[in-house]
Amino acid sequence: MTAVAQSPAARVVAFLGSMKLSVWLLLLLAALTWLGTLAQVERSTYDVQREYFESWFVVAELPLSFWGKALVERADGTPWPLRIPLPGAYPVMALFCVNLIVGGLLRMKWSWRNSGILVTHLGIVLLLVAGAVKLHASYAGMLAVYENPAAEGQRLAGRQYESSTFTSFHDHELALLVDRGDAIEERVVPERALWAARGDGAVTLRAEGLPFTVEVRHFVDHASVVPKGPMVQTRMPVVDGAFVRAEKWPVGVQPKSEAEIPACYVTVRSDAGDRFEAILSGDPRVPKDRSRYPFAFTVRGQRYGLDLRHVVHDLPFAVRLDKFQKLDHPGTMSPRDFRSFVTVVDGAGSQEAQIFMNNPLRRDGYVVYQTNWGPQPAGGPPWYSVFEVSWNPSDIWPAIACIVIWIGLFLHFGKKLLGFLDSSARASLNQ
Amino acid sequence: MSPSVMQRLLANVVLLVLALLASCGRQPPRLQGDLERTEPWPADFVERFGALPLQHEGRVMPFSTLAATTLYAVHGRRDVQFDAVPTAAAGEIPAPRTFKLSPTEWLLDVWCFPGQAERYPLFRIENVSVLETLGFQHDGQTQGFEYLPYGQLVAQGQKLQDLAQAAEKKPQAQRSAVDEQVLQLFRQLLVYHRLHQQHAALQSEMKLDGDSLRAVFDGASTLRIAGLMQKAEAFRAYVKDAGEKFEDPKYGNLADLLLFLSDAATARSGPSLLPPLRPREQEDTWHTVPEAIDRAMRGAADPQHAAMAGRLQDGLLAKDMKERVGSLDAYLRAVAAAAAARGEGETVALESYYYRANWHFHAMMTFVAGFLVAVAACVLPRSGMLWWASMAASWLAVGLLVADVWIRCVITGHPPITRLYDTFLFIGGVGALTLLIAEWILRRRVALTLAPFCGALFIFFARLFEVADGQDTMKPLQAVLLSNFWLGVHVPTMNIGYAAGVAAALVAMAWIAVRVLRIDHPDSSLAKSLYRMAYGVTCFSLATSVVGTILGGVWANDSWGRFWGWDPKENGALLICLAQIALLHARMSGMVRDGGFALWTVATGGIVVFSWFHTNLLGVGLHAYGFSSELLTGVWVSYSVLGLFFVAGYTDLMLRPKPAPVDKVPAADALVAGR
Amino acid sequence: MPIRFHALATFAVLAACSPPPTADFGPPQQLRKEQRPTVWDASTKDRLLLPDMAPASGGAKVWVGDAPAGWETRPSRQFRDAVWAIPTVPDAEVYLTVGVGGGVAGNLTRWYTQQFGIAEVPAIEALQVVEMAGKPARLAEMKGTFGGKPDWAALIAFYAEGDSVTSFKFTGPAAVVDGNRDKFLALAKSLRAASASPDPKAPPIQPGQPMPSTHPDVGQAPGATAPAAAATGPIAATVPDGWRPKAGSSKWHHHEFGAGGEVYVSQLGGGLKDTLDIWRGEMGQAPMAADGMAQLPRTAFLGDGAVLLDLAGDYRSFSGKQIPGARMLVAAREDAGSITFVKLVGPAADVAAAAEPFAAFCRSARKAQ
Repeated sequence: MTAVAQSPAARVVAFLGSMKLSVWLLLLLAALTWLGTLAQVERSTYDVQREYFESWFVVAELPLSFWGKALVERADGTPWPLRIPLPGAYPVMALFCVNLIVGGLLRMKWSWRNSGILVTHLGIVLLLVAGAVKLHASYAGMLAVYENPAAEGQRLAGRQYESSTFTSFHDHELALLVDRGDAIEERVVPERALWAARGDGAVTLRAEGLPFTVEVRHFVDHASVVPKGPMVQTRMPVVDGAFVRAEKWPVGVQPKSEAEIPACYVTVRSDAGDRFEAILSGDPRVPKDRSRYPFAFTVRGQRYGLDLRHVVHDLPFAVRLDKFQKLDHPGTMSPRDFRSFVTVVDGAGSQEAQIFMNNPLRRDGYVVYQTNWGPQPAGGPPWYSVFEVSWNPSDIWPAIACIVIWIGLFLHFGKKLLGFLDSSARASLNQ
Repeated sequence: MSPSVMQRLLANVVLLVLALLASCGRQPPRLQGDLERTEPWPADFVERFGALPLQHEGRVMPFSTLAATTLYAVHGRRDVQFDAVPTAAAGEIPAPRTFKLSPTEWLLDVWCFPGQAERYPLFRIENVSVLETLGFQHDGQTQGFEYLPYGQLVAQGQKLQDLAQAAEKKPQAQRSAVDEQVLQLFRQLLVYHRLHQQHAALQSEMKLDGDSLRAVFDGASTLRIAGLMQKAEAFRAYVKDAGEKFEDPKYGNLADLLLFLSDAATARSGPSLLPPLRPREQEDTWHTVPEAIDRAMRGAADPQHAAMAGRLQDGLLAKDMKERVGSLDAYLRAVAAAAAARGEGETVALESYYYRANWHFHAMMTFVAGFLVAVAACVLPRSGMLWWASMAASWLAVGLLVADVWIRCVITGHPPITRLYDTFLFIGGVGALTLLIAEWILRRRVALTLAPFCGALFIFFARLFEVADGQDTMKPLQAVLLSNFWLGVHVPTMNIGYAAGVAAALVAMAWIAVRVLRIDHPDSSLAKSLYRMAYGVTCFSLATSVVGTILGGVWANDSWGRFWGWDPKENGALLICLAQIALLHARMSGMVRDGGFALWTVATGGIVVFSWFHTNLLGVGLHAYGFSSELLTGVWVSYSVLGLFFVAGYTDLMLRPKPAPVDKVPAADALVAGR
Repeated sequence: MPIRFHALATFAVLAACSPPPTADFGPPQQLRKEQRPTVWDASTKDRLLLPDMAPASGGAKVWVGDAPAGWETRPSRQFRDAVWAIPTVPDAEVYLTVGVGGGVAGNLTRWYTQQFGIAEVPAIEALQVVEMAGKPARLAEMKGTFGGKPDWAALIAFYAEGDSVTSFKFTGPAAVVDGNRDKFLALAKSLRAASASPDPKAPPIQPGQPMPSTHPDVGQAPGATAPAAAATGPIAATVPDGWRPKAGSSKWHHHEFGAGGEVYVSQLGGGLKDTLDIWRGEMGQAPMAADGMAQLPRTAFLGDGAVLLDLAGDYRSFSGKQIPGARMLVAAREDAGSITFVKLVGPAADVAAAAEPFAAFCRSARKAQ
């Protein structure tokens, strides 16, 4: 392409819209995708997604192996990786989106001849925007409930049979609860703010009007809280006879970040000079126990609680599980169908629905999917059902984008094929 | 085109085929001693009994499918072949007879002649040190493998189990070849062992002592388990009467009988042979024979099961072939009628026919014929008849393959692709079809040759995979995949993309071969055509891959609430799209010309292999539904072949930069505004 | 641009000092109580889902009750935290089991169905409410064949804490159980936990107790002839005046001195540097550099070549004990993978006075015969 424009702005626009830039961005994205796929052999999909695809920058690792054998082995038998610094997929895709809009839509001639390509590009832009909206504006989590017994008396006290909240699969938060009798006042700090307290770090949490500060130390992402026996040596502080032990996934097991339980130490210092120490554990107890067990302390006669927990989202309706049904292929343990018969309750009334694989419940902008069941592997009764609840404004945009892209590609390649079949080019190529 | 080059190529192909054939014609293993079964199974009976419905691994399937999948898993071959050397009198030289048993005949032998079947040379030992480890003698000059019969192997069962348990404890990466073989051998032994034990209760008669005991069974002195099931009520009353004094001599050998029964009723393995009386909605699981015995002893048996088991047992214990066939036929009719009454097994006859007819094998052979004719057409460029003959053969083969896949759809009740096995047939067919259409548009004979090659190659892979995998290729699906809409929309679209990607890579490899070997020197018209063809097929592949990938995301959004999860299989599909989009844009912006385009397309072929198979072998993610080390070898062989072509093409391009004028791209110039 | 420069400089200084980061709690949100089911007064064990935890200090709890006339208290054993017997009916058993998992439903099924073969398990609401150990409890009653014994009966008073069920059982011939029902209920009501003193689950070695036969012989230290001597383990040493034996400790030569100072001898596995670093951590100090070991002074303890650690700072032990302004002296040596050490810690003033006796104690230490 010859640069007609001279001004720097025009040159920048020309660069941003250039096809060469698209090619390099696509190749960069392909490299990231490939490395991000290989990285999942040792890392959890969620972590890889965070690190490779939603980040600004990544040091990608390419395990050097050939024919399934490591070229150079590390101590644990895994191949020694080549470390390659790359921009994350997030800026690459953002730049690609700009490149697509500038070069593939704005600067392209709007003619019948280019119509197929323009439509396709429009579809891809819609897809990328849908991805960005999903990444920034959507959230998802799980809601687990036990089958509601027919008779009131058969309910067990702690269990969750009905829920109007769902909790994030991966993300945690530290909640400060203020006990106001019939009400609870809640203030939260996202997990991200606690990361500075990993290792030897510390984070001090405060808020306007609070008569105390909370110092968080030794935040561990994957931990268990264990009693300190007489023969146990640890560097971690021991509080109330227990300490936080960092856990590791065994070699050969793909880590699952949703199964990791974080823990940390907190020190509360009131302005009156009181001091409280405690360990917090983010163990999710649902659906066996719907209650949370915050570390409670009293300052100036007011009771407060600190709770490390999965991020909680509130729903405008409640889901109650009336019945869970699992059917296996005959004579096997492999499920053919599992579905939940639920009642959805809100202020206006109640409604019955069935949720099963490939058939979610859509309501008030939320989508409720059947995702798991328990107890596994023994089965029930009592059964419980695990739903994924997702709030995503761009829920159906990809489906629309898919249709748009299909129309565009069909138009473009169809026209090209017909043109070619008609053209003299074909005649000249045929012998 | 230079005929001499084509002729040399042809000669090499023929030599290769001959070498392959020679390597197949090995001496079959030997079986010493006389055989119990003195006459062959009647062919018509084998065909009938192959269609016996039974329930196994979650679905109702014919006897022949059970036999075939079990044989693949245990034996790693489609048939059992051996030379039987009868015992000869002193001085005589025994005359060996070669036997070749189909899977159905083999399983019938296991049921009816267990003593003979356990002498069949079945378990393949590829590594001689395994034999040494297990303490077997071997002649030291085996051709790398030897077959062991079950009877010998089971004698070392405990040792094998210990070795297998030790091997199991090691991490995958640290296992030696011997460890792997030991593990495999132990798994195979277990499979056969279950099969061998399955009819233990039916394969013998029990003696009855004591008048009172005999009186229960109308004075009979011997008893078959089916007879006991028929008299279950009277026998239960007798046992109740005996109470804790069952060892009292006045009850005859009741104690032995009870011991035998408790053994017979607790062996729960093997396929379920007896359809329950209750309708399918109330009871979907069939009963095994031990279950039926157990139910009969508790007074809860389906009344028809005693009769069915009786006919089966009569067949197993028959004195001669005629009686045996008669009883087994009666058993077959009873089960088929009971299954039909439950609305099950309608497709069993079709499935049995499907495996017997083996249409994809015929399709493969027709492709091979089409390929040979196409090679001839290349050698003799002026013969239009050869072109038509090859075209016709390839279309016929595609038709056979379509029919084959269509029957599979009818049997499973699902769209064409449900398991990894199906993808081979589908991709082979679609790849061949794409190339045939390309040849139709650009008649340069290269695609005519590549199309049947592609078809035959992938059917061949499918057959290898079927045996290596050793599993039912129509196994029922897990709940999330049970959506015929999405199975019918996303999966075929995606696989058409794979197939076209493979076809494009083949064309690009042909381009490289043509250039490296200077086949169309000096005018390079053939290369130009191939480049156009690779471009066209890539466009087709891109269109289907992009739509297929996004459809997959839409399905995932409907199943799991996320459009894209960066799962390995999803990433693989995305990689194909990215590579092809980048390629088309690089071509349009002049970053690559024909040479770069061909190399890039070959590399994209590698990505297709990665996405299609390698992602499954990483062992992570939602799509990890298949694993076998043979497959991993296949993947690396494919990478190597593609890599060789890539390196050859790259070297050639570096050493001899393009002398011919650049191919004009008619439509591309107009795409960019301002040009 | 002086202002900008100052701002930058300030920022640079701040960044260099890197004060601990702070974060603000988000804005308050008002919720109904039902929206966040909360257990405010859970014990640490329940809150952190700890497995059965050894008590942090003091003895294990002992369950006691007022034995009715004619009943006798028997020693407790595993899974039976308190046991009574009726001497006239040896088959009858009365015992308390604290904290068995499985929930109420699981335990009821176990008692009724598995032990007595009764298929119909009553709902918990149908059971009589009784008082047990000061808590409301339910009473399960069953009759039938128990362990092959016909006409047997059981009375089980129980209460649940989460999934964990504490039960008080009375099993025996039906007539005996019926006849002693009131006595059993009275005993259930009188049950209470008492702090144990001395600790019944004591460490294996205590002064005055016979050694286990497998234990290596213990030599008598010359100075340790007093009746209340500390256990000495396989190390003999001369104990300085002013060190008071600490009773009930499993550590060797465990003594106290001054106001809150203590000293003891013990052995550990592991690397010497790691162990020393852990003690440094107790004094709020960072681990040593790689060559730190070589810099340590040497002292005599079980021969030459033991290292001497002398640290000052705020002491905070892993078991929670805190001594501000403390000093710690450790003499430690590593032999064949095992570390033998004398550890002395206390308020700095007391330790200064005890430093000389400490050195003498170390010098006097030798392997017992």
